[in-house]
Amino acid sequence: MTHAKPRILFLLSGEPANPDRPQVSALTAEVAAGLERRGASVDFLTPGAVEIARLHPAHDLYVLKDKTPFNLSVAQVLALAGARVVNTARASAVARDKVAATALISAAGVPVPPSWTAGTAERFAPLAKDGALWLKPQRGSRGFGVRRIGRDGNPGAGRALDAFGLPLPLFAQHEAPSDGTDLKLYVVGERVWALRRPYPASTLKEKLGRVVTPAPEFVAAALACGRALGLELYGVDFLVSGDSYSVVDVNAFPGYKGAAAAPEALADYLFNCVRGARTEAAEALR
Amino acid sequence: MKISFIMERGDPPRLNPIFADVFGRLERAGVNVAVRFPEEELIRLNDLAIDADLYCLKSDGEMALSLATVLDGMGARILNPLDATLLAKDKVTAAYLLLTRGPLILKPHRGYHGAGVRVARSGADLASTNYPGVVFAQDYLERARVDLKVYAIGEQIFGVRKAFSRESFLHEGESAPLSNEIIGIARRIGAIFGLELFGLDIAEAGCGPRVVDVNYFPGYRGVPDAARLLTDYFLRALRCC
Repeated sequence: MTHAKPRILFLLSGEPANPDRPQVSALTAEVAAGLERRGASVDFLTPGAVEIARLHPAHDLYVLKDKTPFNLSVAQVLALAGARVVNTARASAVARDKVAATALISAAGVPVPPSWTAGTAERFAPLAKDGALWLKPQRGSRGFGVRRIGRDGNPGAGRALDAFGLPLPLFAQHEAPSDGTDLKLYVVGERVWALRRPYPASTLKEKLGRVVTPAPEFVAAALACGRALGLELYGVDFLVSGDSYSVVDVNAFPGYKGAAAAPEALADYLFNCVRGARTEAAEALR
Repeated sequence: MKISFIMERGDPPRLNPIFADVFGRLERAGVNVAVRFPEEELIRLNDLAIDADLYCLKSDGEMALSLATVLDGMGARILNPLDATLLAKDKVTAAYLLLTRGPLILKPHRGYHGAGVRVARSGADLASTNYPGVVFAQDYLERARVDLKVYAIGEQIFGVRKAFSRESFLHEGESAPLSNEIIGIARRIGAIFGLELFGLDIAEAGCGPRVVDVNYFPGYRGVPDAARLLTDYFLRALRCC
């Protein structure tokens, strides 16, 4: 069995027009091609209706690329059944939770702008006198639901509720000083790439940014974020102003835009994970 | 010794009298008791630190879970353990554990207090229901008796019968004897999830008992002497810190 072709499955979200069809990004396609060149077979899946009792790992490795709530649950079940999942479902879920992730990376000694959570927006009102605030949803991505409140502005009132009327925490962060560019570090295991981009980036060219060599303190801070959240494949957003910096976001399995060597590094990392998973399985059998 | 309870106020706002009794008993035993309702606080995230010997996560709220995730990451001791709580919270993982490792079977994905729960009798019913995110479905046991709740405090297992309704989690119910089968089921579920303080909703159908839900840290309404038993459990847990 250990000589059979390694099988790797990517958990993806569906195409907007055809939700059952996996949406394969350019990055995913490139990483999959790299894995196939290394001798693995690669499948893509957007779980539809799943009979829970029948969920069983049929692949050597699961790649949790798109962190939809359903993919997170499916990945967790596969892990309970013994599958190796990268990033783990738990780490991916914690990274998506701005409240937990911000507190954990701050506790790890990484500079983070002053940040708060509350059940109702009016509790943030006294904070606005100290400077502009960014209000973000607990589990947002791609800027959805993000609002900026200027100094002395009114953060509004009321609670955030989920689709069933259950309360969600609110998150507020003081605006960090920035010299007009942001620094994005992409990490694959221990490998790190850095890009400088105008802030905020709007065009594709701006989003691609330019590759820079990061100072060791940025690399150390990025790796500390990964350790604090348990991530293996991730991106860390810094705002830099003169000699000071702060981390404003950590993303599990980002798009690695602008890091040309990342797809090959991802293929290498994932292929090595399969080998590690197989050794563990063989040891478990013994 | 300090014990911190992470609670939810609920809607309508309330404090379970059993827990009010527990807090008084713990204080009389010399324990410093903190009772927190995170949704009513403004919490600064930059300087969170462990400030109790033991935390009790008695809330289904997402804010409480985020806070517990941070405390767990910092090495705090939490009852129930966070991993166990998260497995029970996610209906998909809970169902998987019950179906594949549990004795028996096992609503919205991370729901509680009955929010979003519906019975669909045909495919058309499903089409008319808008569930964003994950939908969780389980077979509806048509003629099952669904008024039995099982509560666990460590190894001690109790049965309570109460009429099922949207507000049944607020009502007391009556103590009910349990078969050895159900006691065995409860102990196994505790072990599978790693839960110490939990409740089960049992449907008694013609084919035998079915576990339809696992609740971490329930309210224990209707369990005789619950406040004393819980206090003893917390005191033992504190001594193990």
